[in-house]
Parts: sequence; C-alpha cells; structure tokens
Amino acid sequence: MSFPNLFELQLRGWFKGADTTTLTYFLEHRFAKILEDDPGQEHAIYTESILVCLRASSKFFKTLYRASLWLTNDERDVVIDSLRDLLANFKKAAGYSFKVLKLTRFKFQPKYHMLSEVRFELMRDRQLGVESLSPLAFSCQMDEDFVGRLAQMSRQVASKTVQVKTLQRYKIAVASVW
Amino acid sequence: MKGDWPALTKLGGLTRHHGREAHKTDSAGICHLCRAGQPGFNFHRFDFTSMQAARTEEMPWLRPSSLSRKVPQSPSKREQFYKIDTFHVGHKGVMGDLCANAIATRHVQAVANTKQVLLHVLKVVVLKTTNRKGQTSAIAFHVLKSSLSTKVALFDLQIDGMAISSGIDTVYDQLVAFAKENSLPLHMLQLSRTILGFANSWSFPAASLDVLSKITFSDAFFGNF
Repeated sequence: MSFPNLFELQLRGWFKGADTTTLTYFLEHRFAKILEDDPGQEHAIYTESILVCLRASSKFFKTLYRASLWLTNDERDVVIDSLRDLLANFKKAAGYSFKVLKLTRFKFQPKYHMLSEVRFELMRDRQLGVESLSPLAFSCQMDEDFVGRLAQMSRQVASKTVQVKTLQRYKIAVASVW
Repeated sequence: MKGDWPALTKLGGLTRHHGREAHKTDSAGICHLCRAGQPGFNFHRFDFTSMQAARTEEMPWLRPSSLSRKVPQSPSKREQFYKIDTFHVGHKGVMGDLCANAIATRHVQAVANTKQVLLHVLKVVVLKTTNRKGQTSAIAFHVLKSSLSTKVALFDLQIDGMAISSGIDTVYDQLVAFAKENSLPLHMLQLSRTILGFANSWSFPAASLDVLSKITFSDAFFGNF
C-alpha cells in the first residue's frame, strides 16, 4: 500500500474549512462596499441577497465557534435565525439568477436540506424546552483539516500495521487531552 | 458516526441519501432522517411545518449495517446515529458554494465598472480601426456605447476563458491582501475555475475540493479492512 504525496495534492486548492471562513469575510466586505458605492445599481436585489447570505453565514459560524458544547438560549436563537436568513436568501438568489439573469447559479443540492435539518433539530429542542448540543459537536473539521498530519503519522510504520497503529496513536492522542 | 456523505452512505448502507436526487423519476429521498426529496416533499422547503411533515418512521436502509447492529446506540433513534456534519454541509457545502457563486457572479461587474478597462478597450479598438478605415470618432463612440451596454452581459463572467481566469486571479490577489491585513488564515494557493466549479458559463459554481486526494486516502486506508 502506498500513499501518494498527499501534502502536495492538498496544498493546491480549497481544502481547509478555515479558508471558507476567510473567503466569507472577504466577500462580505467586498459586497458591502459594492452596494455602498452604488446603491441604485442594476440587480441590487440580487447583490443584496448574496450579502445577506454571506453575513448570515459568518454570523452562524462566529456564534458556534464562540459557544460551548451546550448552546445558551440566546445562541440557539441566533443560530436558528442566521440559518433562516442564509437558506431564504440562497433561495432568493437562485430564483433571481434563474428567472431574471437567465443564469445557472446557486444550485439546490441535498446539502441545502441537511443544513435545514440542523436548523429543524434546534427548533424542535426550543419547542420542547430542552437544551441543544452545538451542531459543531459532530463536525469533521478538526479531523479533516489535519488530514495531512494524520496521514504522515500513519505512514511512518510498516504498511501491514497501518490501521492498528493509526488507531493506537489516535487513542493515545485522545487520552492525552481527556 | 460522522464523516462525509459518501462514507456515511456506504457505512450505513443507506437507501435514502444525497445521491438519490432525481428529476425525471420519483426520488427515493435524499435525507436519511426524513422523507425530503420524495414526491410531495420538496427538499428546499426549510420551514418548520414542512420539515415536521417530512418525518417518517421508515428506516433509511433495507437491512441495518453492521455499525447499526453492533454499536450500542439509542434504539429509538437508530437513523440519527449517522450525524450531520457542519463541516461538509457548511464549510465545504452550502457556505462554500455561496462563496463560489458570489465570486462567479461578482467580479466582472466590478471590472466592467472600472473606467480604466473601458478606456483600454476603447484604445485598442480605436487603434485597430483607425489603421483600417480612419473613422475614429464614430467608431469610438459606438465602442464606448457598446462597452457600457455590455455591463449586464459581463455581469456574470460571460466572457472568454482567458479573461475569466485572469479575473479570478485578481480576486485571489485581493483575498490574499485582505487576509493579510486582517490577520486571517488562508491556506489555498490559488483560486481557479476548477476550484470554483466553474468550467463554463452555464455550469453551477460550487466549492470544488480536492476529491482525488480524499478518495485515494480513504480507499487506501479502508481498502485493507
């Protein structure tokens, strides 16, 4: 069994979650400025709905990153509302680009539904009056953003014992922070 | 259990999953937690009532996988063992696509708004036409008019490939400068049409990831089990 040079493969593109966050901040900044510079511009509705989406997206992540494992009621409300803004304006932008601009943008994909599933879960907890776990609890971000490092760790053993050694090392790593 | 969707689908033996989206025939459902995607349950409806209405008792598998059978878990919420992961659904999913679409939508309008670009276009065309016919002013006016009116056409990168690529490079340079100025982390070394899932003007932009390396890794890792 051989691993290709994963590090090099991954170095090229958009593979870290943090990049999406940075990109969102950047675009938020740009779009706000574009609207500010020329408020009466053509397709301002479209641009505006994209801006609302971007703002909602960064609000969603900002709130979750600051929150602890169990969300407070306020945090949960913010997360629910920002997901609503995001999903609603994504839909609006999709409709506008298709109907007015005649362009294929903002495709609805199953992941769009999965995000609304996250929102539904939180709303149901709110309705039942119980506390909610942060959706980040089940995120793969840590695991995947370190995939290069993990690959390196697991590669430095005999090829026959890769699986066993990797799991052993994972256990040691977990134990060290428990 | 958390992971990306192809992994969860395989490990759970799911029958309702992201790959079951269908347009011409009836879909089996795209969500292992509910009936979304099935006839009468549009998956883009995200309000509480529609979501509630889509709940189902039916398990998303014909036969529970070994993970569902052997790992101790809540018997009443077996399908919920397969977790929604905000990283794949958010960062690499909807939020990533949002960024890709925003870039595909945006930058050319910004370029078209720049007076310099218009002047440059004007100069080049004037130069070319003057040599041929010498009717400079009339053509110049015509070009200026058409450049201004192409603003909408340019709005969404509906120009030739070369210009799109260099436009995306410009966006990347601005992104790098922005990240540096605000001390934000940035790992990507470039933005390209491939990364933005934007092969041509009629494609749907999306955050396209290094799929190749991921498949190679998981196949190499799980392949020996």
